[in-house]
This record gives sequence, C-alpha cells and structure tokens, in this order.
Amino acid sequence: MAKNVLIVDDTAFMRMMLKKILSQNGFNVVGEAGNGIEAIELYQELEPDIVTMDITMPKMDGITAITKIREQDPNALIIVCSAMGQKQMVIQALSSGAKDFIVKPFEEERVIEALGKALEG
Amino acid sequence: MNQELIKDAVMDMLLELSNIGTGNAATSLSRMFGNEAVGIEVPTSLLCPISKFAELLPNPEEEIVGTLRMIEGDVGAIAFIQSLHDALVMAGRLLDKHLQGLDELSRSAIDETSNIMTASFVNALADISDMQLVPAVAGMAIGPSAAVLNSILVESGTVSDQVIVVESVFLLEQYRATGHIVFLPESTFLDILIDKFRLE
Repeated sequence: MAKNVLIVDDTAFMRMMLKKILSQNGFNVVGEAGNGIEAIELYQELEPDIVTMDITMPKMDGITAITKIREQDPNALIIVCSAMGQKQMVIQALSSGAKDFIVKPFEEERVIEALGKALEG
Repeated sequence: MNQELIKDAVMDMLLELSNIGTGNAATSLSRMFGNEAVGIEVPTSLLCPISKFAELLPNPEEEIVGTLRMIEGDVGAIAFIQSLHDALVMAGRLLDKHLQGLDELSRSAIDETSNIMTASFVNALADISDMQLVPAVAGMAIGPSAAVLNSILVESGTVSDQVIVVESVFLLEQYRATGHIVFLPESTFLDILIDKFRLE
C-alpha cells in the first residue's frame, strides 16, 4: 500500500517539486504545510507515515517542529530537506529526531532512497 | 597593525568566499536544472563602503529582484540581487518553460533560486568562519533597482559601514545570467572573517 507523506516547505515551488517526485515513485502525498505550526496541526490531523521537513520557515522553523511532533509521537518519521547543509545544522536536525538530512537542491534518487530507508526502519 | 597585511587578508578572504560561494551555487543550479551543465566565469568581488552600494547597479530604473535574509547572531544580513530578466530566465529553467511575467509559481521559483544562491554563500561563509550560520526567512522585493537597493539597506538594519559584493556569472547554454550577492556584515563578524586570513 502507498505510504502517506506530509510535505513541509515554505516555498510552493519546492512543495510542487517534492510532490511530483514522490507521486511518481508510488507515494501518496496527503498534505502540504508551509511552516512548522501548520506541520504540527497537519501531522495530528493526517497521521502520515513520513514527513519531509524544511528548516528555514516563517512562524516556526523545522527543527522546533520536529521536536514538537516527536513529543506527541516519538515514532514520527521525519526527513529534513534543507539548503543549509552545514555540519552543525545536520547534527542538530538528527539529534532533534530527524531520520535523515537531504541537502537542497536534491536529486530524485536521493529523496526516494532516504524515505525508503526511513520507512524500512 | 600592518595595513598591507590586512589588505592581503581582505583580498584572500574575498577570493575564497567568491570562489567557494560561486562554485557551490553552480553545482546547486546544475542539480536544480536536472544536471544541465552550468558554467561560471571567474567571479569578481569587493569590499566597499556602504555609501557605494547604490552604484552597484548603474541603471536605477532597471527592474530587479532582491531577496534579503538576516543571519542569526551578530553576523549580518545577506542579499541576492538579480535583474528581473535573469531571474525569470533562471526560474524558467527550473520550471522548464519560458517565463514572460510574474505569477505565483514564477515568484515561488525565483524565491527558491534566490534561496539556493544565498545558501551557497552562507555555507561558504560558515566554512570560512568555522561557525554555524543560520539565516532567517527571506523577504523579497521586485521593482526599480534604486528602490530595491534602498529597501535592502533599510530592512537589513546592520550597523556595518562596509559591504561585501560578489558578482557571479552563470553560463546556461548560450545565456549569461548574472547575480550579485551582497553581504552586509556586522563589523565584529567582518573582523572574524579577515582574521582567518591574516598571516601575522
């Protein structure tokens, strides 16, 4: 059965790109959020199997959103997609509970591989 | 302090920043454009007084796009500036179509190109300074260059009296797209950058 994905990114273009990549590879995009607050609300409402999370966003950044989502659901699977590939940022994202960190701009294979690995556990 | 040594350190720092930043940006653009080859010309860079900032773009009426991001901590602000025409050409490559005007999707694609360009230079600054640099969400302005540059100065609110400007030229098949990175550093952060290259 297709896995349900919640996409979180503040640019509509990037959400569209991710949606296209994921849909073409058998994933079901159940929701899109433009900031961390929307992400938390949609996570509760939609209970997706996995989340792609941007870091730099208005209202609430991705790292805070990851921490809050995992407080509610410690098993939440979240993959970070950010242009800020600095070592410290990757460490911070992974220690807040992200399963993987994809540096933008990403390649389709890398996205699918990261989601596949996280879902396999 | 020896002024010549400082001058050398500034030159080295600018060279390193422009080479790493432009290299990062070309790699990122190539990936965004589906692994299309993106060439670069040797970037030019300078550290100049903020009063010279408006002279960057000679035609004050030219329509440009400017995005500005503050960087957390006492670091400064970074802007990416491009003519609207070049911005639409680059966004068009992303969307794989010829863009003639601005709609919601082309604005979003321009926002993302600017985001990637800025990140390329913020990551270069992080490499050079050996610090974690966290940029905030961008604000975007489109309009005559004089107005956009002015709004960048006002919005950045930095106390620095100097700016770093890097001009990068990207070769997209037959098209030359130019972009300016403008870094408005806090003076303490500028000292950190220059110190990294001092040979004393």
